Amino acid sequence: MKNLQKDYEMLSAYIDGELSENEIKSTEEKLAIRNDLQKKLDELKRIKQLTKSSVKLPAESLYLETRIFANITPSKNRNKKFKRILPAFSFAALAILLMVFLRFNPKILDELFESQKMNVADFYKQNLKPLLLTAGLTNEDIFNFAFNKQLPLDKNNKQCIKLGYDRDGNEFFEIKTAGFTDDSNNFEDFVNALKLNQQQKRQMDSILESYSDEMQDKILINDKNTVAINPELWNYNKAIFADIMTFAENANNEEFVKIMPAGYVMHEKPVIDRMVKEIKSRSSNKYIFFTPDSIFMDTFEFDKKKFAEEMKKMDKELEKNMKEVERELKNLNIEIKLNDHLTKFKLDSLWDDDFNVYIDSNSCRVNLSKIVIPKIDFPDFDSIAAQIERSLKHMQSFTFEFPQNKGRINEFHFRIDSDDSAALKDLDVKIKLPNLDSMMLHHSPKIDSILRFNMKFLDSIPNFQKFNFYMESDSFKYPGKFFTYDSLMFNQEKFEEQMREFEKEMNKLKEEMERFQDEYYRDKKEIKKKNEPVEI
Amino acid sequence: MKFKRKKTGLENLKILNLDDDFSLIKRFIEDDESAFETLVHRHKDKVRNIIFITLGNGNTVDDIAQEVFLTVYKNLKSFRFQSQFTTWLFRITVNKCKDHLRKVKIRNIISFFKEDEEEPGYNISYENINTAEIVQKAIEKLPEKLRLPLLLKDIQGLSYQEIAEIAKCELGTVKSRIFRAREGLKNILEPFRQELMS
Repeated sequence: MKNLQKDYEMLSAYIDGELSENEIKSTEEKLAIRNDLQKKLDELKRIKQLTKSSVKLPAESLYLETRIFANITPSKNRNKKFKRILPAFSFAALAILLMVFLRFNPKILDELFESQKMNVADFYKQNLKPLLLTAGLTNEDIFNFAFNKQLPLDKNNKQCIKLGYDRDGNEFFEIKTAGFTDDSNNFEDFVNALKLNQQQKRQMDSILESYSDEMQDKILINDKNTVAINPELWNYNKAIFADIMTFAENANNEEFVKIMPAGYVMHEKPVIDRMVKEIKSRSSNKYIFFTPDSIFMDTFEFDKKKFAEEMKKMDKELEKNMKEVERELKNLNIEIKLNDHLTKFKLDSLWDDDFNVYIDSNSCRVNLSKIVIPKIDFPDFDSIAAQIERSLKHMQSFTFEFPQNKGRINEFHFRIDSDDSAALKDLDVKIKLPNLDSMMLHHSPKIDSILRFNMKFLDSIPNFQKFNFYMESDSFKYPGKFFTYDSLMFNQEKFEEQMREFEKEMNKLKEEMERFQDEYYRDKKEIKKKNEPVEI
Repeated sequence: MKFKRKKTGLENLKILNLDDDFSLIKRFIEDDESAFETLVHRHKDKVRNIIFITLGNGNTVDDIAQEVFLTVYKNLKSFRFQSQFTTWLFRITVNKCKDHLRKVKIRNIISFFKEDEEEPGYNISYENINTAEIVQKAIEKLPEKLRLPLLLKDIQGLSYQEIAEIAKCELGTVKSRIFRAREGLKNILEPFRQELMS
């Protein structure tokens, strides 16, 4: 049966012309002797013929090529368009991939960011040097730091670090551009006001110098315009102030009392000493880094010994090649350029908890809300100034100064009549002059402001009459300033000079007014004459 | 005396026939778009016929032919010249037809209504029917694996070898399937023996 099937297949292939010559020969031999095969062959031929004749192929398509090429062209254009949008598409795809990746690996970005932050932090930590040394700060600067709470970073550009309190009473640091006011000779004036002898002066110097050394590592700077501030700086500010005040009080109590504002109560020296000692013993390696592009808090170990050794080496080099070192020192330019787009790095959780940063076009402030700073009671200059300002808010600026006394005046008495200020209502001031020697008070800007005496009455001449001055004594020996009665301050010499000038001005004005009056009436008469009818 | 042999050009013609598709493909690879147009023009009828043969109807022939040539266009630059272009082209065509049939089957499963025109099988109506139609419907009743080799041979005139390459099967299998297709046709057409003989 299988052979028959195979023979039939051979016949099928035979009529299709698919047999080899041997197969054809073999098949034809079989066909010659076997009728069944011949019959099958006829049958297969018939089926083949029927198949060929029956199947009608589809009619020719006239538009197939047109359709194909019409579809190919947009496809080509699509490819071109796709190539054109490929970059955008790639970015979008990449962004989606990144989002998906970060969705399932959220920590990677944080870790990456943290590592990068560390790199940035390390970069800005390089080569940090004490500001007090590199900026060439003097005892005068340290003294001003104690009293004015500002240290110059770059005197040429009036850039400084400023310490202050915000509205909530929290301490802050601020790097201000164009904010530094140079109060020169304050220290010297203070020493003179206290009438310190040479030994006491040297002691004062040594106190300030000691703080200069102690504070070395509290403000660090480098050539990358980084300023690293240790929050302990605030404590040092208070310590220096307290130390100076205690020393001054003990050095010359009589003079010291004169320059202190009313109500100021000093702490006992042992208390201050203990507090200063405590502050000096504290050490923190936490710094707030102000950099051109970031503000962050991080730990930093400043090696004082190593730095001291470097300084020694530098001294030697200085001897060797003075000019070169000078040039290098000149190149060390401290300049903090604040960028409006400062980025804050959240290096650790301390950021949110311990300080906040406020930045504007010319300052950069870091508030220290939770950093522990021991409280020290200072004379409340601010409240004194505020009280004076409140009482004098309706007055224009005016400075009283007294002339150099020739041994005649020993009492100054004046009176201010006020109709709308409760604080100044019927103010009657009597000042005994003999004890009013020159003081240091003008050294403090806060007290300086006290010198400004504002009176609204002076802007009109009639009101000036309400002031009654009585200069009765001649025992006033020194030109100078004093304050009493809530810190009113006068300078006799300047005041008298101003009064004289004022009198001259008034006389001039009076003369001008009289002249004007004469001219007016004369003109009026002339006009009247002109208007009279003319006789013809 | 030497006789100059007349150049008939037949040898060259033969070589051209063999390599013509290849040379067109090479030109196309070198960004000559017109070469593809020539290929389409040359083979479109055969492709359409195979589609018609495979599907058993002409409704979607041009749609599928278009798909075939677009596929060829996209892939022609990766043609490896290891077989004849027509073998590759016809294989693509058959595959496209199979894809189409598969889609139709799925569609019929999903749809409540069968698409009669897509159905390869049919019921032969014996009224007002001519010989050709009887044979056509008989052919359509053959299983695809038998019908396709038969028609590729008898209608398209392809060799067993070509059919084997397109269908991806052995030469002997093609021989056997064609014979079985003919036997199947004979059996289907047995009731119409008299009409067919007349």
